[in-house]
Amino acid sequence: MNCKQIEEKLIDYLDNNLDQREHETITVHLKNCDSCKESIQELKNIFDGIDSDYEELPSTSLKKGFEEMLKQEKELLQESKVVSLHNSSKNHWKTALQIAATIVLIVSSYFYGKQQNNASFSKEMAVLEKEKVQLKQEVTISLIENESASKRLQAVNYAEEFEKPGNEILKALINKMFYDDHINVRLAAAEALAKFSDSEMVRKSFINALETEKDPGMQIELIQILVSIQEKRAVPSMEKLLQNEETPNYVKDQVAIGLPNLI
Amino acid sequence: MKNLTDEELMILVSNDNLDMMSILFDRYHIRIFNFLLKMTRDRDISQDITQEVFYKAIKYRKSYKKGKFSSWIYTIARNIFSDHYQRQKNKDQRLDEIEYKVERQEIDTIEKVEIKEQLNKALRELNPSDRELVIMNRYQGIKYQEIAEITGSTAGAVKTKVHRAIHKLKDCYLQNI
Repeated sequence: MNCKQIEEKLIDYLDNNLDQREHETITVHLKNCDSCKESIQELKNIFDGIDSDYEELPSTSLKKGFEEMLKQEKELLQESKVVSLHNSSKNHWKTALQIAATIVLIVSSYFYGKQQNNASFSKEMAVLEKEKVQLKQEVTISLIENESASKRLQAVNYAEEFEKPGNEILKALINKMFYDDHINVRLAAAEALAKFSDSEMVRKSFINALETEKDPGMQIELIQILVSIQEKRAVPSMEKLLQNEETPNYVKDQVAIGLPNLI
Repeated sequence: MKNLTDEELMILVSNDNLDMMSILFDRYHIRIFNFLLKMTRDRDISQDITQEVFYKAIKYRKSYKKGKFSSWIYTIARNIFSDHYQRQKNKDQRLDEIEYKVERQEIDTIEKVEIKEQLNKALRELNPSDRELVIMNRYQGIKYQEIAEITGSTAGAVKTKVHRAIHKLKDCYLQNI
């Protein structure tokens, strides 16, 4: 250890706070180093000076003041106890009111919290619902172009479940109704579209379909739908069907049954 | 009751047995008074603050939390002292005059050339926090660990600071002779 390090340990040395090895090292160093010897002497003087300092006694007024204060505090404590006993009956309603207020607070905060929860929950549900519908639409559209007729049928059935399908879905369904290779898919599409007859696009597509339709099954289906949705614009094409020689008799019968309902 | 520990007595006090505070007062008021006297060099102020320390100890008895009583009471004393010191600092020049007078007195007593008095002078030259550490540790014999509890520090940090403060005190002392 050099002198600087020694000097830093001199206080601990005088306080006997060092382990034996360090203590001895410093004892040896002090014998050979005058400047450190001087340092420790100065510190010793300081500590001696401090130790020679005696405690001063406060005047007796401090003790008296304390006792006076203690007496007052005890009286105050006593008073507050007495007061609380005397006023207990008066304070009953106050306590009851406090308890009532507490209960109201707890109950109302419970309901508030619950409502908050519900609100955010239903908001969340709405978002999820929306996402679900979007997903379903996408699935439907992609399925509707599937090579397998049963998959396309499934897609048409899916489409039927929408409350308010987007135009994309409707167009896809109309497309299926007109052009699908499989008659069952076309029928299902027509059936599904019948549910969305509020849409002008759908109604027009039914009218057009009836004009161009060659398949008797589809013709019957379309006639039924057009009659049930009370589409008067379909009357000319129905009359045409009646006049057409190629039209099978059972289709003509269907027109004959339906037509009076429209006129 | 006299052989109960400080902490046991203070728990009784915090349960509204106020008489127990007089035993604690007897045990501590001289130490607290001397701590403050060394800090302020003013007997009247020290006495007032000591009085206030025990008043606050009773007032805030419910906030005593079973720690070391001496640390708790010193914490109160420090707080009141620092409030006082702050107030004094904010006061106008009248106080400077008072301090000046005190200083003159001090210089007169130095002529007695007692180490003890020279140390008091040197102590006054330290900044308040160094002075406080020297007083607590060297004059009042409070261990580093407890000073750490009182001042909200660690024993290691307190030890380093105390040692530095002692060296500063030594320098001031040597400059004066």
